[in-house]
Amino acid sequence: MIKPEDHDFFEKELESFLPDQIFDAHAHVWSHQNMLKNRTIKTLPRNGNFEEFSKMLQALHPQRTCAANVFHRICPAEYFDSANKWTSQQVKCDPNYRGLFLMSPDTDPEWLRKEVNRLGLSGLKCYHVYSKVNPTWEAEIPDYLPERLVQVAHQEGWVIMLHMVRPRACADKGNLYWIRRYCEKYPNMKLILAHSARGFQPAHNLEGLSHLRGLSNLYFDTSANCEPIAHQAIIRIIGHQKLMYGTDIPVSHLRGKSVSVGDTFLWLYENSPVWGEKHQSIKPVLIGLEHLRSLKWACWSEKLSDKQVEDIFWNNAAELFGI
Amino acid sequence: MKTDTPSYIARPEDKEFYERELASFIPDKVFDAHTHVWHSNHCQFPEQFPPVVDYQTYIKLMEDIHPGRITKALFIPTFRDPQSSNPIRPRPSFITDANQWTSDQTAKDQNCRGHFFIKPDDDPEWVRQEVKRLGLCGLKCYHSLSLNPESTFEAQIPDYLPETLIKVAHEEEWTITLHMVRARAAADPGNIHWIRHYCENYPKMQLILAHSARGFQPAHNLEGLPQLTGLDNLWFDTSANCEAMAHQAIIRIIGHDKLLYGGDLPVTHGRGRSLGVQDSFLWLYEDSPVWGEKHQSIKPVFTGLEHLRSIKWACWSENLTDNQIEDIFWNNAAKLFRLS
Repeated sequence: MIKPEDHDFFEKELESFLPDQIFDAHAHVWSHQNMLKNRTIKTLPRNGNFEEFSKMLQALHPQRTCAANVFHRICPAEYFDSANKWTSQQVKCDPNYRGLFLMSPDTDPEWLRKEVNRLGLSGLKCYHVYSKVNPTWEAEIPDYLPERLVQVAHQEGWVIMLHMVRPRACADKGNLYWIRRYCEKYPNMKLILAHSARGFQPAHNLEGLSHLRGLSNLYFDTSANCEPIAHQAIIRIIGHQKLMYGTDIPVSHLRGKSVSVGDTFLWLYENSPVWGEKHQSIKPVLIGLEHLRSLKWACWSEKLSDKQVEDIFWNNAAELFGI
Repeated sequence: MKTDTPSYIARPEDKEFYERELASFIPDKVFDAHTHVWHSNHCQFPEQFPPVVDYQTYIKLMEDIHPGRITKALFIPTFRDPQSSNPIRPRPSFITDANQWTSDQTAKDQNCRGHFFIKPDDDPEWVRQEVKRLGLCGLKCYHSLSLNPESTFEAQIPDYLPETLIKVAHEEEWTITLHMVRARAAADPGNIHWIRHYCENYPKMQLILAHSARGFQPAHNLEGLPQLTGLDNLWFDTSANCEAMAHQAIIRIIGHDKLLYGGDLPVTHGRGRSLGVQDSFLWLYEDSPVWGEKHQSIKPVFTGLEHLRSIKWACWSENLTDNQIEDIFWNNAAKLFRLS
C-alpha cells in the first residue's frame, strides 16, 4: 500500500513537521458486509476494523501516537444498524477513540438518543445522499440534518459531523443560514464542518467564513482537502483552535489530490489520465500525504508556533472529545 | 463541446470569474513582465490561438484578463517551426524573424520593452550589436536551444545561457529572463550555483527567474529560495504559475519588491491551470479529460485568470498592502525597466 515515493515524500515534506501525537478527527471504518459491492476498493483492506484502521493510520504518520474519531463508510440505510454496531465495536478497542452514529434524516429522535448512548458513541454523522432531494448535492442542510435531531444532539452534548453540499459550500446563503441557526439555537451541540468547510474551492471559504465568526460550538476538520488556502482561511478568519486534523481514511490511502478550478473543484486519482507530463511521468502519492503538505503550508503561511500546530493535530480534538 | 469559436475568445464563465475574483484586486496599472508576441511566419501555434499577435492585438487580448487597466509589457520572442523535429528548436530564420517582430512591436510604445532571443553559441559581440540595433533591453534564453539537444529538460543553466553572454548583459546593464529547467528548479544545487555565480559576478546584469522561479511545485521554492537571498540583481516574474504558494514563498523569503507580474500570453488564453503534485507539477488543459466531475461539468476559465487569483491569494496570505500589490503589478517593473 505504501510505495517508495510515499516514503520519499514523507521524509522530504512531513517528517519534521508532524507532531508526536495525532488525533484524526474524521475517518471511516467499515465492514464489507455493510457495503455495496460496487463501493469496494481493491487496494483497501476488506474490513476496516480497528486493527486494519490502526495500521493505515500508523502508515500515514509513522512513529506517532495516534487516535481517531471514526464512523462507518457510507452504506445503504438498511445496513445502518449493523454499520453503527461495527463502529461501536472498533471504538471500544482504544479508550482514546471516539465514534459517530451514521444517521438517516428520518430517524426518530428518541430512538436515536437511545441508540447512540447504548453504543457509546459521541454524536452523529449525516450525509446528503440520505436526503430525499434530487440531486442530493443540492440539498439544504435540514434535508439531511433535520432540526429535531440537532436538538437531541444539543440535549446530549454530542458532536455532529457535517459535510456540506451545494456548489458554493460555505459561500452559500442557505448553508450559512442553517449553520448559524443550529449553532446559535443549540449551543451544547458541537458542529464540525468537514473537509475544511468543504472548501475544496478555497474562494468559498474566503467569501463565506467571515459570516460564521463568533460561534463557539463551530469546529472544522481538514480531512482530504489538499488546498492550503482552505485551511489557512479557517485559521485566520475563525482561529486555529477550532481546526482539527482529519485523514478521511480510506480517502487518504487513494492516490492523487483535490484541485480547485474555476468556482469549483475536481479530484485527480491514480487512474486520471494526467500523470504523463511531457518531461516526465509522475508517480502520484497518497492523498493523505498531499493533504498533510497542504496543512503544513497553511501553518507556515500563518506562522503558527509548534504549540499551535500541536493544537490542530491533537489538543483541539482532545478538548472537544474529552480525551 | 466543440464549437467554431476559438477558445481564446472570452466566455461568460471568464467574465464571471473576473468580476467575482479579480475586479476589486487588480490595480489600475499593469506591467506584464513576461509575455509573447508572434507572427505566423515564425510561429504557428495550434488554432486555439490567434495567428498573429502584434502590439495592438496584445493590448486587445489583455482586455480579457485585466480589462480597463493601463497595460504595458516586456515582449519576449517566441517561435514554432512546424518543419523541425522539435518545433521549439527551429531553423535560424525563425529566431531572426521573431526578434525582428518583437522589436517592431516594442517600438510602438515607449513604456514597453523587448528581449532578444539568444542561442548559446551566438557571438557575444554580434548579440551586443543586434540588441542595440533592434532597440531591445535584454535577453531571453530557453533550454530547447541547449548545445546538447538531448534531455534539454535536464540542462544546466550555462548550456543555454553561457557566461560569455552574461558578461555582455552586465556591461550593457541588460535584463535576462531565465526559465530554469531541471526537475527541482530552485531547489536544484546546479541551478542555485549558477544563479548565484552569475548574479554575484555580474552585478549590473539583472536576472529575472520566470514563472516564480519555475516554482510550479512550490516546495522547490520553499526549499531553494533561502539560498538565493541577498542578490540585489535577482528578480522574479509570476507568469503562468497558478500556485499561490510559489509566489508567496518569493514574497516572504526574497521580498515583494523583487516580484513582477507576468501573464505569459498565449498561456493566459489557454484554459486550465498548473498545479503542484508530489515533487513535480502538471498542467490541466481544456482538452484534459478531467472536467466531468461526478456532480457537475466544469467549464475551465482562462489560465491567466486562474494565475491572477493565485497572486491574489499570495498577497492575502502575506497581508500585503495596496501599495505593495501595486509594486508587484507596476512599480517594481517601472524601476527595473526604467519606465517613464
